Amino acid sequence: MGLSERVTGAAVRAASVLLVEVPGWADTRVAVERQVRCRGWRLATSPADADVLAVCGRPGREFAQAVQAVWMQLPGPRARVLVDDVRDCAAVLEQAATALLDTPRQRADAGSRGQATDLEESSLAPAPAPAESDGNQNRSDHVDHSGDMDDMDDMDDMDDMDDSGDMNMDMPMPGGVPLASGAQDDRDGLEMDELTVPLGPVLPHWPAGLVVRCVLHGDVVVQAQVSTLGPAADHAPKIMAGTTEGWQARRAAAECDSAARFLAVAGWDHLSQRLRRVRDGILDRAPLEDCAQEVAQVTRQVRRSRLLRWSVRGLGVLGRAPWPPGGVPDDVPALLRGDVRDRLLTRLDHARDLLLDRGAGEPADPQLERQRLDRLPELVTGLDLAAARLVVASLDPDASIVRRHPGAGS
Amino acid sequence: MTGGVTPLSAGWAPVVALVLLAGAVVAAALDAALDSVPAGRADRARPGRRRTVTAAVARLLRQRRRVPVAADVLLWRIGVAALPVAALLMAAVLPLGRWTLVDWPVGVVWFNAVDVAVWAAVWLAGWGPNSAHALIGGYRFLAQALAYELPLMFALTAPAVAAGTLRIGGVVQAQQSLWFVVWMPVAFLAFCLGVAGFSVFGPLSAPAGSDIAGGVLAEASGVDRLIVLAGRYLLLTAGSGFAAALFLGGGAGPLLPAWAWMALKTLAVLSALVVLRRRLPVLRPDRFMEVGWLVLVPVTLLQLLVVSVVVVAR
Repeated sequence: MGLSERVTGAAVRAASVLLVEVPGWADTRVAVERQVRCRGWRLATSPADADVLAVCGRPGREFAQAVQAVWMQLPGPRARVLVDDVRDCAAVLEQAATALLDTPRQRADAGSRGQATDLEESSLAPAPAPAESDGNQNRSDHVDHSGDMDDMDDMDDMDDMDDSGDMNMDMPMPGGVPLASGAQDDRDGLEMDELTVPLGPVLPHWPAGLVVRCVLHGDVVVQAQVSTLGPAADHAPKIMAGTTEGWQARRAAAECDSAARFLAVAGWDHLSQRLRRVRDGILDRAPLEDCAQEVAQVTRQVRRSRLLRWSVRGLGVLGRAPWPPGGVPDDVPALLRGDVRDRLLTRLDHARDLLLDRGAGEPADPQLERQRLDRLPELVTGLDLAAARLVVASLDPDASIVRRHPGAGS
Repeated sequence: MTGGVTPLSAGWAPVVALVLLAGAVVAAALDAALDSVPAGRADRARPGRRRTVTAAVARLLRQRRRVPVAADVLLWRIGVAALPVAALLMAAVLPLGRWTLVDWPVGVVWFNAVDVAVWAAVWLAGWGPNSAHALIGGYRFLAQALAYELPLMFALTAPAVAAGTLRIGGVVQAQQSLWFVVWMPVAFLAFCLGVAGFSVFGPLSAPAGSDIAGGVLAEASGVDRLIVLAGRYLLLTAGSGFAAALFLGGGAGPLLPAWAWMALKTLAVLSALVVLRRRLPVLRPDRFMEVGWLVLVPVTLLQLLVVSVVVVAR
């Protein structure tokens, strides 16, 4: 075996996977995460870090454009797979590994990505605005296609430019990307540059299908607009009704998953891993008492951590003291009360109650999910990006439920 | 006076680089091994496959380099390459037993100058790719550096004051009877925090946090990413080496030769940093600023005062 085969083999053994979850395919995403771990692979934090793009579920049109934009950012050797069914995921990842090992094919793929294909590729994805890591870094299509009125993303971009004066003509556009423009209002007596950065739908530890279109001053969110992206219309996910048998365990697993993602955003990977394993245990029908006990242990560790308390204290407070006076109406559901840490602890307690079947749990409630989504923009405005990510992770709205019940709570 | 240390000729520089690299590989391997340690009871039943350092390196060597639109490639590359270079420049003044590459009379200041140069390196690595997340990562590093750098400087000053010299060899020799860590523990802890800071590691890894898609690492792929990641471990290794030399008596110890003691102590500090990483969440940069200025600066200054009074009274 030659050196290059050996390098290839080793490289594929350490592949990293960028996960995209379409709302409604959480089970599939969980299954892929587990399979990734089984193979000794790793989850990627950004497209530049990824070898495999694994899309869980069938995305709708707008979502598919975003996925395409992300796909173009994978450096290669790369493989793209669609996982539609929980049972397929081992086979599909094996397929991805085979594709990565296929050096001639990867070489052909790389060869077809020169300057010439920039145009070709971009015509596949007219508006990659909600791409992963980079509001301003995407290809030049923003500008080229801004005449496409049917495309919402481009219209947003144009509006932004118009707001900030008629600079379209004079402003230099390095690489065809408009520069950050000056904000209308000064903050702290400083004139700040304004940058529109969409967060989501493809970000690590991010709620499926959520897009938060942020206007940033530096890393401070001054304006946020929330929307959700859904599955393809003809491919609605199979819905497990909330009242079918074993819903408590599934709901508990979902709560553990959500808490694990919050801890990952908070940078506490070890505890996050542990909760993920509990989640997997619940789904594998491990004894529920054991799972509940482990959840309780994690909860204790979270509750005891002074560092975490100090670090997220007072972030994203909902419905405690009236602050600002009369500002927050006190109709906050119990599960959303408090700051981000309170919400995390509530979530963990909820998971334990569900596991022990204390009757305290409820199936997913569309009104509650809608509230999580609606309260988001107001809460993240004025926070820096790190804090905003924590708030989003603590609310963790389930877009699949919100989209299924469009009228709820409004 | 050379402080019992023999300077080597410049031809030994590659050897020093290899020794440093070996330390970094050990740290990376330990980190990878701890990653596959089962997390909690539920995990023990289903262990995942190990991810080896070799495989991770092979992956990055095989991956293509990717340049985002309108990137400042020159500055980006400078920032990326500066990380391992900085680590090597630090290691150059570090005595391994009897040997050191250069035995400057201002070794402590040199170390400090290089660790400040890391500010520029990390910021450029964030600025270069022309991406919002990377840039935010770069600025996070600066904010964090403002908080850890002053305590780190005062922590560095304490052993120098106690030894009455800025020569690293001299500081090591001054600890023959008593390690500095014993009577300046605060300075030692602040120093270790500073090492984690300039290595963008553990609780101070927010500039490369996954909440901003990897921050300064967000756009780096292939060999660029490899160099940044290696640079972080190399800096961590060099920093641990300095902790061993300045606070843990360098090569002092029974039975084993001096170089072995130095290597052992360095690895001990390195392992402690890698293991501790798992116990702690990442500190938010804005909150850490408060701690840096309101807690760490005063306590390190107090530590320095105590050391100075002891030195004068002695």
